[in-house]
Amino acid sequence: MIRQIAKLIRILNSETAPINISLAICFGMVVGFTQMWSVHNLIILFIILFFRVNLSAFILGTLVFKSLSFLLNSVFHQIGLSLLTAEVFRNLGTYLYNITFWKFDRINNTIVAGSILVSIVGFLPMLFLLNFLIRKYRKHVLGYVRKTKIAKALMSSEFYHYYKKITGFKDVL
Amino acid sequence: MRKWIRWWGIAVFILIVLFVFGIWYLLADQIIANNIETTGEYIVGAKVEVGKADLTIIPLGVTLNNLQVANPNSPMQNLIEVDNIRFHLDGKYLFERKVIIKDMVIDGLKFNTERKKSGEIKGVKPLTVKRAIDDFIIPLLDLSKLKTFIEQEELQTVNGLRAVTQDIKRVEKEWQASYRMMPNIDDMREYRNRASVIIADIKKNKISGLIAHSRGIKRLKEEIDRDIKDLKINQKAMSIDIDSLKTKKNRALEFVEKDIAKLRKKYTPDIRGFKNFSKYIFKNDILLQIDEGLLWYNKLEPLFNYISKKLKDDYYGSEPILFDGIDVQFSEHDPQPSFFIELAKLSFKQATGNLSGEIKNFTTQQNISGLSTSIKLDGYNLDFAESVNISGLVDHVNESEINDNLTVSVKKQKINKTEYQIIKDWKLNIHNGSVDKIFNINIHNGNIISKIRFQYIGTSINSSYLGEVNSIIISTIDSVLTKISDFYVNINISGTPSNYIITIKSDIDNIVDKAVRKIVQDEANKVRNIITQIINNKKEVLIKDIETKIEQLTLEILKVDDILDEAKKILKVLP
Repeated sequence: MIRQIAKLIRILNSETAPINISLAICFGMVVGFTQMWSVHNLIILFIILFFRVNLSAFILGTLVFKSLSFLLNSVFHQIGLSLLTAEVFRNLGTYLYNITFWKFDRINNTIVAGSILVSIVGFLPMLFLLNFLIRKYRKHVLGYVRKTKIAKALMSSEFYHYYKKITGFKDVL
Repeated sequence: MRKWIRWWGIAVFILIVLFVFGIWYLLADQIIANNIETTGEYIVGAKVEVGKADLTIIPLGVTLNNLQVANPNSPMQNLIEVDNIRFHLDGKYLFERKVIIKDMVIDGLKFNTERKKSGEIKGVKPLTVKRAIDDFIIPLLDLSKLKTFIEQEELQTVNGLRAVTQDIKRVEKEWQASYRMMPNIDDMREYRNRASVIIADIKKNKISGLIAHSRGIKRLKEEIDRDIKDLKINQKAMSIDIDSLKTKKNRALEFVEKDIAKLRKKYTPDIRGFKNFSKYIFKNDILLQIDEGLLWYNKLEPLFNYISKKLKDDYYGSEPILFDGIDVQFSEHDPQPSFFIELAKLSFKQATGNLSGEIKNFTTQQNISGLSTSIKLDGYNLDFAESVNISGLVDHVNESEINDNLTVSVKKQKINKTEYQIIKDWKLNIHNGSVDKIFNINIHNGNIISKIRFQYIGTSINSSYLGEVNSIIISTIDSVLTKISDFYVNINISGTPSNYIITIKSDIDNIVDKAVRKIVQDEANKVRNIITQIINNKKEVLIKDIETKIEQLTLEILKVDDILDEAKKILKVLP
């Protein structure tokens, strides 16, 4: 976990395109929020591995959002219940339910439907928000942090060099 | 474009998928067993254990070995134990998360087997069976004890007469107090002396004497008049008191008949219980079995009864057992229940013989399958009976027309020595012979209309009473029961599965009632005589005392008469 956080910080501070990181976290949100062993998550896994999406950000995103999902289950249930019993969704719901893929994916379950809806609706705003925050971070926060005495002291310390040596990490900051 | 693609990612993906499926396949047997155990425990409320589960991919099927379902009411026993269950799954529907079983074979079904470990699940309350009320009372026919009890009874007659006695004491006391204050015979003597002096002086001095004593004569007359008045008032009060005491005594005597009636009602042997004596013989055996059966019906019936609940308008959903949230129902092009067994062949492995049968169209979602569940079991030449035929139908296809039916016919079931407890110390044993049993249980839209008939043939009955009451009734019943070898028991159940009435009738009822009726009638006459005698004895003692005291009070009035006579005589002689 600490290794993943360190990796993420290093990537944040590197020249990696922000979209790579934010996309990974957003996919992590979908996997984390929705039922882990489902067909759509298998597809996401394929996307993550096939396309150059940052794996550390994805793993960390999945862990964070999975933890959050335990707290949000009742919210997902309410959202899913409202969606599945909405008259406007009846035809689409019936259509989806009669497709084996979605039936196997338990699309008619309130928690699954609620979590998928939250993930889909939140995907793009989260993507743009994270992109924006990463850019802001790199421009303002990173420069400031690098100049602080603590960061300088930390990076020049024996412990930091020793840690880098045994873990094979590059500079975090 | 190339910088966006990771070609090695495909290999990793395939490896991950293969790894996950490999792990799943390795653990599939355990996963299946766990799912069956979790679902079973949720439904039954006691441990469900699968000895071994085996998944085969080609053909797609599952074999379960040594399935044990514990009895929640008796955790050291299994409700059902099955040696082997084999079934094939329709793979097409598995992708829709539906378990559709075309054929299932259930081998070696056993009931009520012993468990090594308790099957209790902590926190789950067992089904509580209503215990039959032990309300049968043996009529007390021991007349010596009866006398003691009646002697101790509180009687309105006695209480009334005792109240009169108390009143007499009060009247006596008040009279004594008044009598002390009343003019007495000494006062009269004094008046006479004064009158004699006046009369003597008048005789001597004629008119002058009369003139001189005119005032004295007037005063003496006034005093005597006042005393007469006082005496008459007290005498009248006393007379009223005596009349009141007599009235109260008579009123108390009016309770004699009521007291006799009350005690007769209490102590005359009640023979109503003997009109339905079979109820007391079979209640613990039959009633408790019916209670337990209907409790299970109440527990399991809702599973068949459209487990989906209304969510909103015409939206329905159900809570999945192994998953959170609610599964909302949508119409399907090819509607299939979540779990469906088209045909399950059953074979029972009993030490007593072989039973076989089948269950058709089993599902808890008959509204979707459109098919009712049927069960049929047959066994012939069994060790315990000549034949057993069971047929049942669970029809919940139409929500407004629910029919559950079970017909069981057991022919010539051998009777092992069976003990029936009538009351605490009175037991009845039925042994030898055989019994034909017919159960016809119908529950239509929540109303039970059920008939059960047991026909006993060639039985031997004996009873043993170990209680302290030496009752002629028990010995009479014992003697008539031992002569019975063929009899029937009819049981009717009506009402609803949660609030039902059970009536038990048998030809034993008439035999017992007839035998007991004459004894009880004779005993009832004796009881009446005893009650009347005891009440009369108590009454006579009190009445004698009351009448003596009233007599004495009457004599007290006569004493006043003497004083009044004396006063009147003095008045007469005064000029």
